[in-house]
Amino acid sequence: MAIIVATLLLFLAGPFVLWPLIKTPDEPLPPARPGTSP
Amino acid sequence: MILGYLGAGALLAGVVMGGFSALLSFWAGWRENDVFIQVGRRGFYAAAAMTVIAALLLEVALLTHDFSLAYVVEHTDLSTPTPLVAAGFYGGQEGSLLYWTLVLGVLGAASLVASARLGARISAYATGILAAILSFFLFVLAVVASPFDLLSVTPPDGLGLNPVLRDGGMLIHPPVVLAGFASFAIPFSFACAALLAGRADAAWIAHTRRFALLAWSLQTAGLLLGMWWAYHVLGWGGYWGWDPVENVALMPWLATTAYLHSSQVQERRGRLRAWNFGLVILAFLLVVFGTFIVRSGVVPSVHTFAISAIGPWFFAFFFACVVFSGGLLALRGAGLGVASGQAPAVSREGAFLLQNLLLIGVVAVVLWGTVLPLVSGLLGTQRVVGAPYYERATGPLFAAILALMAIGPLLPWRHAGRPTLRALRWPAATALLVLAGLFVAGVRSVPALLAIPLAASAGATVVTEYGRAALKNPAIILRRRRRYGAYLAHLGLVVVVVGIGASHFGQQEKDVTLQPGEGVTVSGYTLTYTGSQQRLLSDHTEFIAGMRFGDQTLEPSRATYATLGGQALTHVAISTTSVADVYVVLAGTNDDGSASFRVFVNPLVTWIWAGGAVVILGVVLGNVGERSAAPELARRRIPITLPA
Repeated sequence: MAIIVATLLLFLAGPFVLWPLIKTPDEPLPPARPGTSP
Repeated sequence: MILGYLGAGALLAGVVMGGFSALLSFWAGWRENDVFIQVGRRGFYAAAAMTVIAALLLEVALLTHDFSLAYVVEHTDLSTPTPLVAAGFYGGQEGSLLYWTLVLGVLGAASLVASARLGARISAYATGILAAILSFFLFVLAVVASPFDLLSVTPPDGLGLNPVLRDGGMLIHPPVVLAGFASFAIPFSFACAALLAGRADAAWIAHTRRFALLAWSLQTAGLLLGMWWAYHVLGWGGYWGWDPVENVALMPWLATTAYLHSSQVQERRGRLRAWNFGLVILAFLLVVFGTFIVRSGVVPSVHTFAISAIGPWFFAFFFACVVFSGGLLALRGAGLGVASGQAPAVSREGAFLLQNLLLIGVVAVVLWGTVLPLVSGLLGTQRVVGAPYYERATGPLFAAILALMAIGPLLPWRHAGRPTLRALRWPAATALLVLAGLFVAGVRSVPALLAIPLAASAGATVVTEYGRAALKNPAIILRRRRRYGAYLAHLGLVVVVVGIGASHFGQQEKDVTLQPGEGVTVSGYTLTYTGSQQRLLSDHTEFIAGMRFGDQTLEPSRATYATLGGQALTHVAISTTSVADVYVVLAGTNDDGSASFRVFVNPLVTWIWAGGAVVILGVVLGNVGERSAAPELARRRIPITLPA
């Protein structure tokens, strides 16, 4: 039971702890070539 | 029952999050990866939040009398008043460890928030060290000594708090002293982080000094509150018994006192860099060692917690801390460099160095006295030393420290010339005057004739310094308030020392058995016994004696707890007059209506509590809201950078 509670708390804390990784923008995507569908 | 599962879960989550934060912070600091440094720091904040959740859950369990938890059963019952039920949180081994961890988490998080100026690498390493310490405590709490252990059968009521702890002092002394202990981890973490990062410049010392000062202030208040509590509750007429628990609280305080002075030598003159690191590290090692001693039960003490399984874990943790910090200091200390030129002996820095050596001497004396039962037990016959050993061995050292308190602040940096000798005339004259006054008053105790005049001369030095500033430009007191706050703290300490000297060497004591109507006179104070009465309460029987003292009636009493195997507890009656405390202990009542008392007259005890308040006031006024000295120091000195 305690392990389930711990897992749940860690899951809930995830977005706060990992926020610096989440907010860091990914590598920009290469611009789409003209004439290709999006 | 659900609170037990939730609390245990929060502790487990804290262990995992703390371990993650420690490993990631060390790695990210080494690679100087800003994003992962931030993730590591947030991991520490999350682990601290788990600790806060666990602490709140334990408090809720206590206040709602959740007797499915063994800890709640062992430390509270339905008849315990609510404030003391709440205080049961730190009334036992497991809860007090959780409180320790809570303070570490909260203050550690605050120190990391304030560490932005130190640079990413130091900050990351400090996070790693703090997270490792936090994880260790959370691991012990989750696995070895959990306050959330469940009972297989839920009893209808608990066992209640130990009678000695059922006192108002319980609401303030343990939380302050435990917070003091926990906060020594913060300067330690930043010192080790600075060594790891190879930076020993002024920014490190400014940041660490602030948290060392916080730890020192909490420990000062904790020690004084402990003395006050012992004096008012234990009924032996004194306030300091050189018990191992008192000693282990005193030693880190002494080491940090030394650091707070020697750090100024580094700030002003660039000297004692390795020594300063060593003092900060020593203070924390003494805390961990003290925690091991107190909580493992290896040394006999009146404060010892019940024997538990945490001893070996704390010994291993102490060993790991010694190896880590000692190794770090040995590897990096040599590279810290020394300032060029010989330090003059008669100068402010010379006085600080001598004071440091004397304080470390006191630590050594106290440490050997404390561990003697352990060491001698391992070698054969267990030996224990008492107050006479400590008083004889530390007395001369404390006297020399008092003399330095009188002389040191008047010495200039670098070199003391003839004007300094002239400045010393006021403290010297005060010492001689007080000595003569005491002698004329009939005081013949050599330690008292030494301690009180020296303390008075240290007080005269403070007054001289304030007077000089007031005559020259009073605004300087506000402008340089860190310095004048420290002088105020010195003045408070002088008052404490006079109180200790007078009450220790001037104490009068008398044992008497009196019939109603009979009186006793001790040191000019007359008390008359008026009779006693018995009161039956839910869990104990109380005998209350009446003693008429002037217009007042003092009521010393003695309670017997049948439910706790007949454990007896005295309640002291104290009347504080302007110059002395009249302290009455009821030793017992007899069938013929007579009662036996021990009566003490303790001169100037109130000076100790008042002086302690002045010390704290001086530290607060001198430092709260003070702008960090780091930028100014960094301008004045070239940072010392070690190879990373």
